[in-house]
Amino acid sequence: MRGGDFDELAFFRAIHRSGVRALLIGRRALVLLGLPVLTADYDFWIAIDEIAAFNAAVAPCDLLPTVDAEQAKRRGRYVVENDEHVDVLVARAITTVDGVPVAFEDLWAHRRAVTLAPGVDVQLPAVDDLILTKRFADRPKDLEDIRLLRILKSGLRP
Amino acid sequence: MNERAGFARLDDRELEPAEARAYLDAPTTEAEREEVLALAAWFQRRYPTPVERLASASAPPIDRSTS
Repeated sequence: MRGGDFDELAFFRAIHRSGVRALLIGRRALVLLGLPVLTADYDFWIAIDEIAAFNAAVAPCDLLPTVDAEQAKRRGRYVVENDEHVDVLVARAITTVDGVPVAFEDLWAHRRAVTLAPGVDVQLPAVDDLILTKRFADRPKDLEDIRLLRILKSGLRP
Repeated sequence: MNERAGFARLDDRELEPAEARAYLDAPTTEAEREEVLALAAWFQRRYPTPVERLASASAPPIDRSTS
């Protein structure tokens, strides 16, 4: 359910101010890059040791974790949710379906920031890295997103 | 059956590796490229700021519990 009073800018501001290393992945990252796609949730990949800080940051937005931090680490992912649903990856590295290891630290090193408002930046992976995150599962929508990202990249000025 | 939930399940299924590889290896036609870039250009004109783009992206909720 999408709550009528969810303040998206406040949500991103809280993450920014927390200092948590959080990469926005998934379709909202595509949207910020300028691709018109729809999505019902948010997807982040965060530094594995910053789960508690991330949870504390989004708690004022009424978003609560579904499992504790230790469980989240074991599973490699968890959810914070209420009126909104936020999938959070917390693995140090994830392997794509065709065997390519993708490390959070590498993506973080090559990230780019998108400014939503003064003092509110969202961190995105580089386009090629975002494409890699779309290979964690070969769902039809992920493959379609990869084709969109490849085309977008081909149209970007160097 | 909830139609949106049904489509969501289809969209969430994982493809066989060969099926995925064939899709990704299929060449992009010039027409497809032009269409996507034109759509992206329109989207960025229609929603010129990142905040506007994010606000436009929220799909209606999917009831995954309905079969």
